[in-house]
Amino acid sequence: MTRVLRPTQPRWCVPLGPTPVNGRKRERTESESDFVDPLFTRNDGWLTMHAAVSGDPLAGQLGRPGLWRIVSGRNGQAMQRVFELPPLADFDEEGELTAEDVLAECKAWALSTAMGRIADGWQPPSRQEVESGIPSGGLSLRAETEARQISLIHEANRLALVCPILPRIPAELPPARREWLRALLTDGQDRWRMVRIGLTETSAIAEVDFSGVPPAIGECVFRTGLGALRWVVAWLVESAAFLAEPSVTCSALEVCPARG
Amino acid sequence: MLKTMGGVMEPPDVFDFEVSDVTGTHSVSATGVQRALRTREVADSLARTMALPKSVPWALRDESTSAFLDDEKPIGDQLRPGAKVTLTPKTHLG
Repeated sequence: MTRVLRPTQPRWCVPLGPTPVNGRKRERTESESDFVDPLFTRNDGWLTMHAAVSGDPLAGQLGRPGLWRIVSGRNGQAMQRVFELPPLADFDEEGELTAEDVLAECKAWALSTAMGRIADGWQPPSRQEVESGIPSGGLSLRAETEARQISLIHEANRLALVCPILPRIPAELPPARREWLRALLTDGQDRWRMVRIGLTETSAIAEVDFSGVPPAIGECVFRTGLGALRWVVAWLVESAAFLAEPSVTCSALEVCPARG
Repeated sequence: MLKTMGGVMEPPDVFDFEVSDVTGTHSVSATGVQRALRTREVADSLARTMALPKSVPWALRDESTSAFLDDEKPIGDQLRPGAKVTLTPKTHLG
């Protein structure tokens, strides 16, 4: 039986801790049992691959292929890189690919991009095809007083969505406020799936990179990623703009946030 | 267009301009505005920043030319850095 896979309704929040089992064997559905791979963990329908990492969770990620991003660790968990695929649990019996085929392609995508590479010969769909999957106004977002424009990166070897959280961070922003900004952005990156964030002295950027995505799931992953990017930027932008505004004074923000 | 590559990101293409309400009573500096942003989004966010009514559609008018900016075009294509604009309700008289 052949099946075509489509993601279910995305839920981007990362669980605060590991899914409890409590000694109870959770009954698998037919769709879940098709997506079993020792390299992926399953949580809330999402497939996640993990890799060890150290360093700054807000540096060095942007512009690299694939969905890999760094999470700094919650509830005592270690910092790690994660590659997160939205749920692929809906089947169409008239499709051409099996679940095993798609899972194999996803694994290959994750493993190659972990090394900073994409599959030889991979090209994104045409720009027209990609743009057809973007709803009208889908690259513009507004959160009350803040408006942002998402850029679609469509090149020979790259497909990505990039959006500034803070297009410009004032040079005169005090160090303590920069630490609060870092804490906010790190928390956002930890809390929500698919989106990775970069912070420099001058700006804060969010992106989702689809370079190398298997064609069978490309449209669905792209739409989920666009929704995730819009969600994360809208969630962060007002707080980030508040923290980055030098004219705002608050004695509580003059003390650096606790780390760890 | 905002670009990132190989772990590095280019600074977003942004600019600054001055905005006042139609009475000239209140003004704000719009700083770090992405040039690629659609003018409609900029006008709406400025209206909220200036605590203007949400139920009113707002437009921007370039004070140097008195021309209304096109809502659907990027604001960076229609304004130069340092421009002065007026935030005006979209009302029709007569």
